[in-house]
Amino acid sequence: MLYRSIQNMTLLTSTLALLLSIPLSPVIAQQHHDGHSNPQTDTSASEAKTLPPVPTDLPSWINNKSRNHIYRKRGVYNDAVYNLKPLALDLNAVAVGHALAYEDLVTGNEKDLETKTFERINYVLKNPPRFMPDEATISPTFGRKYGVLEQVFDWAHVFHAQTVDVLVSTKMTDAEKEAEIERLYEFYVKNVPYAITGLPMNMGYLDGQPYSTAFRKEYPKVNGLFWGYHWLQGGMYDMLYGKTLEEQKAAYATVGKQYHEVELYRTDRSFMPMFAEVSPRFAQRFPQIANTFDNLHMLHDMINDILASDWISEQQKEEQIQRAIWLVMAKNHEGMEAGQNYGGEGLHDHRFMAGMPGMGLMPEGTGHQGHDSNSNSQTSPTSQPTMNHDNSMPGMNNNNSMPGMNNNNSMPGMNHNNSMPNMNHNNSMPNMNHNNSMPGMNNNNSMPNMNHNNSMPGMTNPMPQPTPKPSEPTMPNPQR
Amino acid sequence: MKSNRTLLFSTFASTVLAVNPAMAVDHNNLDAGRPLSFDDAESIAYREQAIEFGAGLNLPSNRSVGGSFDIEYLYGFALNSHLVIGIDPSVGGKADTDETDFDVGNLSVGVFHNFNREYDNVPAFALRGDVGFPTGRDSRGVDLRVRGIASKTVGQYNRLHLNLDLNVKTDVDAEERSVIPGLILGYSRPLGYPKRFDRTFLAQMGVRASQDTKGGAILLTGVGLRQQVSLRSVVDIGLEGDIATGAGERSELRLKVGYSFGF
Repeated sequence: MLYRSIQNMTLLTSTLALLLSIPLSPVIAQQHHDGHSNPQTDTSASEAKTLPPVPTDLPSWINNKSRNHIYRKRGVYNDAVYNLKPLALDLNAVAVGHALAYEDLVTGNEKDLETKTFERINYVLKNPPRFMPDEATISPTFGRKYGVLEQVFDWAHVFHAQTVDVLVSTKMTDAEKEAEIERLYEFYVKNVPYAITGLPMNMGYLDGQPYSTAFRKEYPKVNGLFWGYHWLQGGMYDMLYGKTLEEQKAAYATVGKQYHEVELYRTDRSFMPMFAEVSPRFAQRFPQIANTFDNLHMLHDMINDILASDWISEQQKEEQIQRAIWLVMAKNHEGMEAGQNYGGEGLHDHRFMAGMPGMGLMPEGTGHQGHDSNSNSQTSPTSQPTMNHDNSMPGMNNNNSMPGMNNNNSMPGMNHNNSMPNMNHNNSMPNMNHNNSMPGMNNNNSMPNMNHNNSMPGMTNPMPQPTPKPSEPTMPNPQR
Repeated sequence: MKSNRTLLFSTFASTVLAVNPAMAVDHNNLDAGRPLSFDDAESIAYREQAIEFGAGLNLPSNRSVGGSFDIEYLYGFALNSHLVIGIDPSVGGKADTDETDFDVGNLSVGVFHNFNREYDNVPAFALRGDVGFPTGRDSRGVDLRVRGIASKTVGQYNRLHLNLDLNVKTDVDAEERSVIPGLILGYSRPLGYPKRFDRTFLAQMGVRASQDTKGGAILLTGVGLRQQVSLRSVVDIGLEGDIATGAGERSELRLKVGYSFGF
């Protein structure tokens, strides 16, 4: 009797589960206009703009329909970030936040982004998951529509995570860590055809598209969360670099507090945090990696802006997303070098100012007062708000700070007495965004020509000497 | 007999101890047996490895209680493909035989290939082929199974997984079928969104032909749960039922638990 009851219950439960799943109508935003040859402009409520043309020579993989999951590079350091558990949990929450927002953007729930979605993300940020979730299962609709973009993001995120694991690992010497980080970069670039370029892209160009800034204007709170993530994801590198685990833990006690209490909820940034600002030491030592992550974060911003632009049709969104992916692909910049301008409309302008390797040209309006007119002209048509110099943190000594420097979010205990000796202002940091400092930095041993309002807590060790740039990895062969 | 059991359990124990269980498969990547009988259309990652263990309490109708185990090793030998090597020892009562002695079970080797991810309204498709070698007690001939798999999202988070099976037995008695078709419709859904992201609910319904030529169809049912328990390991639990509709076969209820980890 009990046996039959259990069998019946199993049969009933499984039947109910299957039947309940079937009538649910797909929540996919069914806005495809398949078969249309779409005009370049639309007539929706927002102002119509002309979209840039999509390249006709995109590689075939950009339309691939395969899953193509590749396992990460094996190493004793993998998952070492859990040695610094608060940071690990915060990074888990970041993954959820991105996925929840993207899913709502593509399922017609964008009207709830600043309210319900923000609250859901905020809950997760305050109650982070124990384990890194698979973003694809949190944003399945997004993955079905933009599977290749998901591949690009996922592979870069794996690389991101492993570099952090190396830095937190207690099983490697500092020299071994540096060597492994370089190997990870090569592994990242060589194993897929959709690696993001390590060149310092022209951020003014990338953030100067017709759809640019749409997301931050429409959804400032959620955009603030994203840029808060990027503040952490960039800044944690100098926080970890060259430190013992105990030093890292002590540093994150301050950085994590700043992240949770301030950086996540800022809506006054004029531009996303850049690696050279928030982790100048790491950016100087590994400029290609810093650039890769900056370009990844910019790609996120471009995708946000495309998805948030209601004047773009679904078909056009898919095309513009493909274009955005292609703009930051390593393959698209093959043979080019940092510091060079290859002409054209500004995309292949990989110049950077002396003393600031790892950071390309920035959009207009994100710079110092008096430093905007120089030879590094931008192509961005988008004006940025002028910099705000209010709200310096208590204890901060700005005696030698750069004139016009934005000291928002300066760091408790920050010492600028020896900041930026030999600073070169002739072409330095045009349009630099300085409002992304990290807490607790002691700059007594800062590098010359360094941007110093992005210091890291606990930084008392002598700065590493500039090292020769790592050799460029061979470009990967297209994968099947 | 005893030495086989000892060897099996010591292999199990040493594998668990030797391999760092801090890494494993995801709770949302569904493999047959963990805990229900259907696969989803996703392969493991290229160069990923996984080991999956299972244990079950079997309650065949009108027979004594039995225990079953399964151990599988998976290796992502190519993009979107993985190799599966498994064995399924058992002891005690079983639905398909009067034997109750320990049986080391048949060694199986299989290949799984995923053709595409789910995109737009197109399901993910996969194909799996397995060969079972007669290493078990009283086993004869080689068993083959080809399984076609389609996974599709319905709604936002519900997922259906259709498995179409063709089992071929190369050495059967006169009253046994050599070709046994089967079909399973599986269901999965993550539980706890948007607050937790570590658990998946599963259910299945299916039907397969009876091995006995005089038998009717066997209905399959099941419910289960997969729970991420560490960075790379998942625990699963499930209740499966085989309901015999005709003469010649017995119904059976199975309570299953399992543990999977990837590395």
